[in-house]
Amino acid sequence: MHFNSFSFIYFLAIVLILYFLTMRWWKLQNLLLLAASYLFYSLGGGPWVLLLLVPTLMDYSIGRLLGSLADRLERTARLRKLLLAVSILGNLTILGVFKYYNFFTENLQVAFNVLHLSLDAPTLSLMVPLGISFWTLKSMSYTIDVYQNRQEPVRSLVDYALFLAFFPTLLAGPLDRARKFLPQIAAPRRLTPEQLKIGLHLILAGYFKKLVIADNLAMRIVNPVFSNSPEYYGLDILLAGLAFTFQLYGDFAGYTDIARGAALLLGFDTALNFRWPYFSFNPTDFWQRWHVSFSEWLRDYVFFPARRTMLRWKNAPPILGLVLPPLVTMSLSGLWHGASWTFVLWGVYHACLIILYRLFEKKPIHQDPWKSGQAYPWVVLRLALMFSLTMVGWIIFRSSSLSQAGYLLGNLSLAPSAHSLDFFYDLVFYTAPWCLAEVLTYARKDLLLFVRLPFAARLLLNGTLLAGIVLLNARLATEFIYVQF
Amino acid sequence: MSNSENIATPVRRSRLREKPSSAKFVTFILEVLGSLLALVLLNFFTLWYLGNYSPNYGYWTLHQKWALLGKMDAPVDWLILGDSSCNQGVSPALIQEKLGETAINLCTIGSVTALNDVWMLEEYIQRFGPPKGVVIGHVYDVWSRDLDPLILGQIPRPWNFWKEHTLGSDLLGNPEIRSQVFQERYVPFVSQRLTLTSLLRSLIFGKLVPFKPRWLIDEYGFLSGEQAQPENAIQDGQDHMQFVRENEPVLSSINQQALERLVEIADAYQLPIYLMNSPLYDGLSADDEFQAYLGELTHQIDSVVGESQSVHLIPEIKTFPAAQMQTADHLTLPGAQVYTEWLIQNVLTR
Repeated sequence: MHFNSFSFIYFLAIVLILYFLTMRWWKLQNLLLLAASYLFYSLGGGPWVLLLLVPTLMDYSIGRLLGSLADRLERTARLRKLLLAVSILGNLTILGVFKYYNFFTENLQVAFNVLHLSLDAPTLSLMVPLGISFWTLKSMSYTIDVYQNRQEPVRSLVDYALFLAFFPTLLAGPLDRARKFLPQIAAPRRLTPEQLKIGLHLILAGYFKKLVIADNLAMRIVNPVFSNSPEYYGLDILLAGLAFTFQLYGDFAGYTDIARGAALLLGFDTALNFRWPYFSFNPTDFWQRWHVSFSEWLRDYVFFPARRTMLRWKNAPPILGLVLPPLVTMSLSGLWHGASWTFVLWGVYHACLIILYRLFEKKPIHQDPWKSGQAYPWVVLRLALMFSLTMVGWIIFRSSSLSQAGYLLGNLSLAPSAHSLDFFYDLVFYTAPWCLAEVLTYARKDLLLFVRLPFAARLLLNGTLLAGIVLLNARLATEFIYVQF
Repeated sequence: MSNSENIATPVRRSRLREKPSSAKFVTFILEVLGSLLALVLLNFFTLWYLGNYSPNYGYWTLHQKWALLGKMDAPVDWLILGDSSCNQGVSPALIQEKLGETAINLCTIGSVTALNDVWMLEEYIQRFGPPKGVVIGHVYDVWSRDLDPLILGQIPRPWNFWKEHTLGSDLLGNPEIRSQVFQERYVPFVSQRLTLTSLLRSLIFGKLVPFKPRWLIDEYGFLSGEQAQPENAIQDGQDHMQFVRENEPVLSSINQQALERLVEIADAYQLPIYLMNSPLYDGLSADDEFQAYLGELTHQIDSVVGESQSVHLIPEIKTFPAAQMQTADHLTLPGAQVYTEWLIQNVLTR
């Protein structure tokens, strides 16, 4: 069951009705949500719901054991480490087998062939379980946090199971941290009109972003160019790159808005994923704005540990301290998106951007560049440069192979073709209103600016969004891009 | 709250006892209902807009002509019915000037077949009684066409109006078709989404003046064909030839039933009804194959209406050079004046 299906709307409506009926009994609500979440997952992922029980039971138990073992004693400290390793390895094994096994064996086969060696590695015909990349990370982060005493081990198995399986965020995040989300599960919650208002607005905006913007850009520009790239050149590729830049944002931000909106209707505040990502001034800034919950996960569980390791390495050349942490982090980030070299290359590309930025920017900007005293044209230029670099990254990301990425980037220019004008009109038509909305919210630094409009203006906006969804939706019934990861 | 973080937080038990402001909940409910109402209002604004400024010539014409019939407050001597060739071929103002008799042009489009002529005539008679005479003009190929009942959804009459008309309940009695007609008629966001998307695009890119009609009909319903398009007329003539070669002349079932009803009405009221051929490009009319096709079709029509004393089938064709035409069967204003005068001399004053 996907968010962009009528069955999800009915499902959500039924869950909300039952949820509101049990408003006085929040523990019952948790059970209801857990049952609904497993039903939601089994309707989309079939038997994979059983797989989801593995990290649920494993990490719940490990969390409890970690909590019961004092970390100061050498003997228990070793046991704690072992338990942590079991949790991490367990989750990585699930991820590795279901998502990466074939990728690695295929590449291993190629490597052996190059060396004229023989390898007969079997391939597995397994489907990648929905949301596996998200719930394994969530579960891992919980045990790491418990190990590091940043998180109390959860007492209730239902609470932990709900934390992992909470249906609005199960398939593609946002990646909530246990320390922020579990307290919400473990306490009664109150629904305010303000929450409901914001929740509904987010859902409406999310559907608009997905069905109107992302799907139309995909159908009209991105898919034709990327599925038949040799027929296109020059400006067409540039426009397709721009279209995918907005498609991906619309698709993922749309998903996130619906997820956050649905969670809010249930009284839960989930993590933020986007803070105007295309208003980034530099690569570091970009990763603080794009897929924030995942970036923060990477920062806390990969980047910081990698940097600490480098700092502990006394004789390491300083350049390694600069290069390795972002390279490892971003390569893993790329690989996390999918078992393909284009994703890895995309990750390495972003690592290079971060490294170059750190190398050449002597005083990295941490404050708002608009208020840093820099001339406005210079600030705008930086925005445009980072946007362009991001778009180049997305072309790599969207390409089906390294050779296609090479072709597209090698033929990118301003030379128009017979398709260019139509592409341009489509691009402007489907992105202009959203771009305007982004500029307005960014200028006021308020993601919920439109929720705070006067009553009549909100009615008109909501009516227009609804009309836009009915009228302009591409009728593609495509999956959300990040659900496929 | 400066951004959407920390929107919902768990509350302490003591705070649970606080009742949320019921006024705020009412406002929220009002917002949900108001948003849906805004959607409905936008939908009805779109309906009104398309009725008056639609880029779809067929829908616009159907809407305008039925609206014109609805707005009529006095009977006329001559009722002109038919398709778009007649719409821009017969000028009621000229009839009035030459004959001193009133007329109104209610011609629409060929896709609604002769059934629409019957319905308009039924509506007219119901309100004003029979006129002095009726002229019905169609391009020959309209007689072979079937009817997609969905298009009847564009007729701006109260829901269920078709029950009062010939074959209406047969065509629209099926609940599935009726629900499609409902969508076609009242939910343009779904049924006319391509048209509306194209309109929005034109508006955004400054290619559309929003409240300027694309076509103008005068107070008598006549639509004036402005610019002659001789090349288009010649090409269209060739397309017609191809149609004639590839198709058998067959009077469609819906047109046959419409003709039978016309005979009933004409005989009941002793109302003279003249079935006319549309004006035609002379290059097409001169073709032998075309003449053979037309001859056979005329024979089939005659077999339905021939015994009526009041329905008169006019087999003659008034032809025109390409320089007076926009297509092989659509005239410019000078051509329309010639055709109307020919009609007056050869038909209305018989």
